[in-house]
Amino acid sequence: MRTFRLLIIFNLILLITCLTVNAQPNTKRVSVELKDAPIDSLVYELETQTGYHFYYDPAQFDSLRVSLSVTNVSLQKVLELIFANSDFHFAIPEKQSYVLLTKGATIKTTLPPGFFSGTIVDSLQGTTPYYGDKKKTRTDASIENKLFEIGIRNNNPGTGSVAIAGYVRNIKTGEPVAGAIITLTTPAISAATDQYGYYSITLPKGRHLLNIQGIGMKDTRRQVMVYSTGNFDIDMDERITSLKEVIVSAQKLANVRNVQLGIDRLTIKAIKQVPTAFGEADILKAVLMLPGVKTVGEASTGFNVRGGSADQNLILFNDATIYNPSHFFGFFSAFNPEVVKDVELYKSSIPARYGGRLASVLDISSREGNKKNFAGTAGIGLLTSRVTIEGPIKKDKTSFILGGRTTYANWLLQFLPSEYKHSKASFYDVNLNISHQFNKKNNLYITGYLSKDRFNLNSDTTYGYGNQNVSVKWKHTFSNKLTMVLTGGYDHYDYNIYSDKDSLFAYKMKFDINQYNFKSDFNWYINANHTIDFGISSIRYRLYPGTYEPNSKQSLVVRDNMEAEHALESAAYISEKWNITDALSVQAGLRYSIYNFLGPKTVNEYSPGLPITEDNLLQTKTYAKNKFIKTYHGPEYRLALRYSLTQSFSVKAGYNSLRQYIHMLSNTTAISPTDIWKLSDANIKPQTGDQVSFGLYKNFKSNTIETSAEVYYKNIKNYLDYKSGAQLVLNHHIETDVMGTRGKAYGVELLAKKQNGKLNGWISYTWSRILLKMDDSTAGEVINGGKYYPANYDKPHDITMVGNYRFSHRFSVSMNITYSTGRPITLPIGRFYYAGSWRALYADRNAYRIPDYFRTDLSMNIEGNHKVHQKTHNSWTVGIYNLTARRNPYSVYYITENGAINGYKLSIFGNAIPFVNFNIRF
Amino acid sequence: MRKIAYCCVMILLLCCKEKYDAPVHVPITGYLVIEGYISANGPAEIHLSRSIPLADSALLINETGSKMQLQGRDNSIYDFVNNGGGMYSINQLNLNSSQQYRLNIKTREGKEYASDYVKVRTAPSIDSVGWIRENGDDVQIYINTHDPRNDTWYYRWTTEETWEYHSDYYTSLDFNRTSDGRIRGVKWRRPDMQRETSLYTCWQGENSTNLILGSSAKLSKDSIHKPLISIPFGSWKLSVLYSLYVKQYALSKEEYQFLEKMKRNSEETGSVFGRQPSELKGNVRCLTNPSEPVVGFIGIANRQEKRIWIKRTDLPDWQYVMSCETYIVPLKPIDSSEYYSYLMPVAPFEWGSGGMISYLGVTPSCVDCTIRGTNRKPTFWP
Repeated sequence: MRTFRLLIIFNLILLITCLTVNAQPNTKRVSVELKDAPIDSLVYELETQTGYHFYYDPAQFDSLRVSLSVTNVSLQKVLELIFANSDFHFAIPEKQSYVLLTKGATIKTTLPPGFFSGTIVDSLQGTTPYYGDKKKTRTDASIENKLFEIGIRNNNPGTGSVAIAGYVRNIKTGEPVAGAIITLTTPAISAATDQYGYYSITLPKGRHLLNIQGIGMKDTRRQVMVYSTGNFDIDMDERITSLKEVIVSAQKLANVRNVQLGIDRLTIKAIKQVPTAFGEADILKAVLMLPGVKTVGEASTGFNVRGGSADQNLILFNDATIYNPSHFFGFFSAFNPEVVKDVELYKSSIPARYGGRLASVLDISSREGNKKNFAGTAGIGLLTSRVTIEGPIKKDKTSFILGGRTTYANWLLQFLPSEYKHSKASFYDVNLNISHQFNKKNNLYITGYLSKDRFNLNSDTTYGYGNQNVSVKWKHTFSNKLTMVLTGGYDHYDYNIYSDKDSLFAYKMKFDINQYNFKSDFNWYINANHTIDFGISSIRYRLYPGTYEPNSKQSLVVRDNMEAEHALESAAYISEKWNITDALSVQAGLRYSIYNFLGPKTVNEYSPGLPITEDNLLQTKTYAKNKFIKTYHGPEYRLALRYSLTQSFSVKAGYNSLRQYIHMLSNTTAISPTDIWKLSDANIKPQTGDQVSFGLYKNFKSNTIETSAEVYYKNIKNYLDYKSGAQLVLNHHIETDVMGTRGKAYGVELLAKKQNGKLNGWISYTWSRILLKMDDSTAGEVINGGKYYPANYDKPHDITMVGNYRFSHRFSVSMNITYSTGRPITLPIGRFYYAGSWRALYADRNAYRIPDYFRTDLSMNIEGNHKVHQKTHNSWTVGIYNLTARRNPYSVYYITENGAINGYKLSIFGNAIPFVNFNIRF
Repeated sequence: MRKIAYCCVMILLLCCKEKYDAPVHVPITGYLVIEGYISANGPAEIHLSRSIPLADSALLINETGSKMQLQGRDNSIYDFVNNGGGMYSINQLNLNSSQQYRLNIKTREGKEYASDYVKVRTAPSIDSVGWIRENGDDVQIYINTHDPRNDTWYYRWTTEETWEYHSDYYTSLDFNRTSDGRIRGVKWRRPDMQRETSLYTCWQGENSTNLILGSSAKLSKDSIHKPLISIPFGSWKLSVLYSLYVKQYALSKEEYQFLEKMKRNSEETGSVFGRQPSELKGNVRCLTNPSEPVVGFIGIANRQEKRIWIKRTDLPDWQYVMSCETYIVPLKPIDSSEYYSYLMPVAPFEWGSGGMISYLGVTPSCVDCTIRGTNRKPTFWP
């Protein structure tokens, strides 16, 4: 269209300063007839009639509509008419044939008195004593024009580089903006903020223009004059009009420029767009839409990353370990979407500061709460409701956010047919986060999380489980180059089962895990080319594998208390990111972990070289408290390389190895509430795994379309699989019922993603295999003749599409399409007659597959009006889950009924499920 | 809104279960299946059959013509008699309780099978089989057993139910059929025009088809209370006289685990958090081809038995109602009785000068008890 649609205001100011002008009435006369016209129509009209050029930022004027009818009026007069009583301003420099249009700030076409005497640096507002942004509720355009001075001013700043650090915050709420990118174009230097919004960057002395981009934030820039080391805080505006925009990655070039592979980042805004079964935004269901992430079925929140089992994912909620991330039979994930800020999934390049699980790290961080005003949200759905409130305890210093969620499905269950009439199910969860800023260098973050589930499916047995987590983090900034985060916390998970129908046989069973953890993480930013992370961590486990006790006075049940397990897992790590050249970057890390299985404990010892069975039990040996029973240790390597072929095309390679000392034992398909966890001990070795991966990343159309292709190969050792018919609960010699298997996983992941525009979303294809092998007859039973067999979650083909189309700022439509190969199952190869019935005969494990999975979901988001200042903002989400009503099989099974064998296909959702959700923000 | 929510929960919990036959292609298996029991002091009965493909419509394939013997570690040998139909038995065993024994089988094809050596277990007798009214009105039958030596811990039971029931109507009439099979009027069943009693009293029975297993291993005493059978209120089983015969088997822990796994594999599959089926390994092996699977577990213990009776008079409020359709069927026109042949003639209704004018017709199952059972009285019936 126009050749100079957008002129950087920075240049403008330079231009203006060269002129000595006074705005005077203009003699050009125009006749205009416009109705509801956008700015470009007006400008076109005026430009053709006057021959003047107009300079303006179209983005600032996109909400302006002009209705005007004038004949033979001066240009000055016309512009006064149009912009009178508005936030828009114009300026016509004398003797020049152009017009400057601005929003918010007026461009002065005169210089302040005494400009040339050299005492004033800032042409508009003069110098400011504090370098950072002033505390305001909105930034105005002028802040981008202002020149900030950093450091101690002198007339000759000299050369060399200095470190600048500070926080990037949301100007409205005072919350930190994580993952914001601060870039300098020449020389190319960039830095990203951490989860606390803190950044550190090394800049050459002198004057620079910094560009700042953040997730869900309006891009902004700052002009700085760097004299010496200093702090510089930046406030950013929220992108208010695009509440539902998908921004999956933090930065436009991040996927290409980042050194690491296999990282996916989802903001809560993107998560809220993904349609789910009951309309409530679900963090884990959104994660399942990412390439390389699979699930065994719909009633499961357990997920599998690159061939890893469900227990090989480290799920961290503000650094607290969550052992059971699901509610209500797995239909809801345990995280309140109103409290979550964003989610990062590491599939390949797992940073050295994480360890303890083989497959992935899912890092969920919560919001800090509004530091300026009290605010809240509430959501009402068909089965759940949730509410959050947040606000300052001390303005700009301390804030809190409190969220709660519960279900009222319980009263609905009574409408079920009589066979389920006495069913009960309920859950709730509560989150509390407090953040406090002592001063510029010290911050404290406290997180509390509590969840409880309870259900009873018309039997005399009631199941319950819950998570309890507390973590305290202290962030200390030693200098602009060195920061430290100390984290301490307590994590607890338990489940219990009880029955009290028959008082003679009433029982209660309990299981729980407790862990105390401590870690310190340091980040040392040496210069633009070297950053070093290092730290230590330690986890003290106390695990009660099960207590079984009478639940009434008359009960004959014998108390059976399994001995507690104690262990200490410690690690130290160091990792360096080194930009060798602008094109080549390396991140190399080493983590060394030591695991001690501790007393008090009575340990079973088996004859060496013979299968671990009850018959080969040699003796038991009792160890005293805190005595080292068994120690495992080993290094873990993390390496990632990136080479940029062009600005938008890069090649990456990575290698990592991991160790896992705690295992979940399960012989059910999904994560079930009664799965137990087991620590490595003298008989059960830690699992180890290593992975090599390689990827190509290319962006198209000025980075609006991101594509990537990643290939990986993974080896797993000592993955615990159960023996046929294993007894896992209350087993005093569990090592005889499980066996270490070897596994290999490999696959290709392709992803194309469009982040901006009216149509956005992603499409991914994954081809992957996970095969296990158990061929050591001395270690126990040989499975499938010692050949490789597919794991339960081996689903080779997987295609996912997530799309969103924004019809207007108030109405958008989202759609998911998922297809995957059916998971493997064990099917009968024949039948035999025994005890009065035909019964199915099973042979090879996982030799068949259930039918393929296909699902389409649709949802519509309808926003209330977008006035910024109103009491409540509300929105509706209406949609249909499983639009095609396909009966996707969850399992196929054969059962003996009245003497005959019948085959069935079980689907969790056999229909299209409509849902509606109402959300309020206040 | 409420309706939608209701639907959601229905879907949530009841899911969608449909009949399904997986397209599985498997080789013909024909693995040996061994089932039966061996008493320490008493009889032994073993049944041999073969497994068949899932989709095969074949009935039970019995393994006949095998040679079977029980062999002690002391080389004592007890031969089984081949009774045909895959059944093999020994009438009276008197095993040495300090010895260990194994079962040897040689099939007609010449394949040899052998079980592990097993101990002789002493089995406690059944304390009692009783019943209570539960959930309002159903009858729940349970068993009580304990081992005073606290040595058994694992049990299995089988049940054989038998019940007497009566027709609602006696009949004295039958259809009169012509030589080509057409119905033309009615005739007396007996020359003396009396009621036909053989269609009035019948018996029916049902044997357990599920594995009923119980363990007291988690209790302080080897004492067990296990519900066996639930008879829903109003069932015909208790309309006259009911009898339950319970057989109790004492199991070793391994045999119990084997049967429990079989039960899980066949009767407890399919729930959302259900266990996956797994390979079933017993204590019998094929010696000729060690990789050939064999289904079966041999244990030695006396079988204990107990029979109980429940009379209609024990349950004064028991209401068993059979819905019967009745109609006065005229004998004219000539094909009237053929038209109403879905009702069974019971007794003359109206007589005229020319003989019978009409008769009472009733739903056949209300008249002829042999439709639902047998009129041969079981030998043990009083």
